[in-house]
Amino acid sequence: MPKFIFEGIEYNALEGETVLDCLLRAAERVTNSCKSGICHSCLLKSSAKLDALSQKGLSPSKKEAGFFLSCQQKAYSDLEVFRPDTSTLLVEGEITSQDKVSDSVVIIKIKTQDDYPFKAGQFTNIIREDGVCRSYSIASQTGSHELEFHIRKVPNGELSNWLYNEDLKGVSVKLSEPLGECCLNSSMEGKDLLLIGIGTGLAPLYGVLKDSLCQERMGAINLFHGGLTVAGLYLIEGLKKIEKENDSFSYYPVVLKGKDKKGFIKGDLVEVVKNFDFDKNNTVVMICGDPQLVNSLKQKIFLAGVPSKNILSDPFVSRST
Amino acid sequence: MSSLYERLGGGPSVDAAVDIFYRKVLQDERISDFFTDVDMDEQIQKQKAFLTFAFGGPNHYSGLDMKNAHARLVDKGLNDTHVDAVVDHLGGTLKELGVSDDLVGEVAGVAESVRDQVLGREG
Repeated sequence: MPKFIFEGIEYNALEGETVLDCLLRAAERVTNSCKSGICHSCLLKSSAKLDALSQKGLSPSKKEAGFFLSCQQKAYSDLEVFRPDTSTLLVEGEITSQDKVSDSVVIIKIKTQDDYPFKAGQFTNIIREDGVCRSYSIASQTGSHELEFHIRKVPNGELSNWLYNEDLKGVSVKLSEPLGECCLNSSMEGKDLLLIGIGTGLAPLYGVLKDSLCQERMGAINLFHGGLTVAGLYLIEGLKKIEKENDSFSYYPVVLKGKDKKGFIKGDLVEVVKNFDFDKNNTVVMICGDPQLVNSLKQKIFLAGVPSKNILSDPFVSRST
Repeated sequence: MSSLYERLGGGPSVDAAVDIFYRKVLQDERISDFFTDVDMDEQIQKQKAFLTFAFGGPNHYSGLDMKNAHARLVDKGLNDTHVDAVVDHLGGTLKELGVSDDLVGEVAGVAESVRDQVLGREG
């Protein structure tokens, strides 16, 4: 009988039994639904060799990250599997810089002690010494040893206020493993990119942008950064500089409120994007930030004719209290 | 004879159909309210599962699953006219993909077979 490990505990599977069936038989709580490899609700993670069937239909970045459908994976001896979002794999890091770029956004950089393999566009959890933990997108390009984060100070946000207000240079924090699939993959080579960031939703896109520019494998890159007012667009100068240096890149700052200002588009971001003319069949669209706006933009972009597989997003879901 | 699912082209035909079908559903004011607040990625997965089922493909849905999955929507007023609209869009999608009328009829038949469970009348 195959014996496999789930979260550090050994389970005895029946011959031919799937990981999911065995765990359910052992009264473990694993989310599941269709048991046909379609609904993807039973995702687990492993760095071991997996059956092709258990990764069928997963995005390339999910496959690379070792996700698999536990309903399709036969248990075998020595297989070691985990729940995907556990905070078991923590990395030590030190805050190396802290730069207030607006009255509510701070850009911090964290240098990790060990290698920290991530892909631009992913997010991680920053964990303070006392255990307080929040998710933030990584704004650095793939391969960076110093991780950049754009953090918005939110009302009553324990970690964001700490990161914004306190002098933290040299302070240690922990990082969880990188997560998320709002990343470029090899199937997107040569396509145009439409990046839409709302507020600090710019962060993951900033990393993706830098990746694309230095790999020179993308077509045209258009970036819309939406904010309530001009003050909310915290990287105007930096992005204008990149725009000047790269013919393939265009930057569109969009504000909802305030007086008309040269170089800025005023209006509702969803409407502005809806009226933007781009090649629907050859563009990868990434949308990050406020969940409601992300969902609304995703639907508009999809109805405009972009295939669902070319629409990636990272809704910044707030912690529910 | 090969199964309906095989004759329709299996998994790849589901992938081809799902975007067309979901666009039709989202743009139909009679039923779009049931879908607009739900995460799109999740919806696409659910639509794939539904299309796989309607195409006669591998699935493990029981009548009870169908009933439970839609109970919340029945509470919100889901009724026969909404199911009609969905079956309609299913047929429209297949026709757009060039599927013959006979097969479209068979698919509609499979979808019809769970109408009562979806609406909570049996199962």
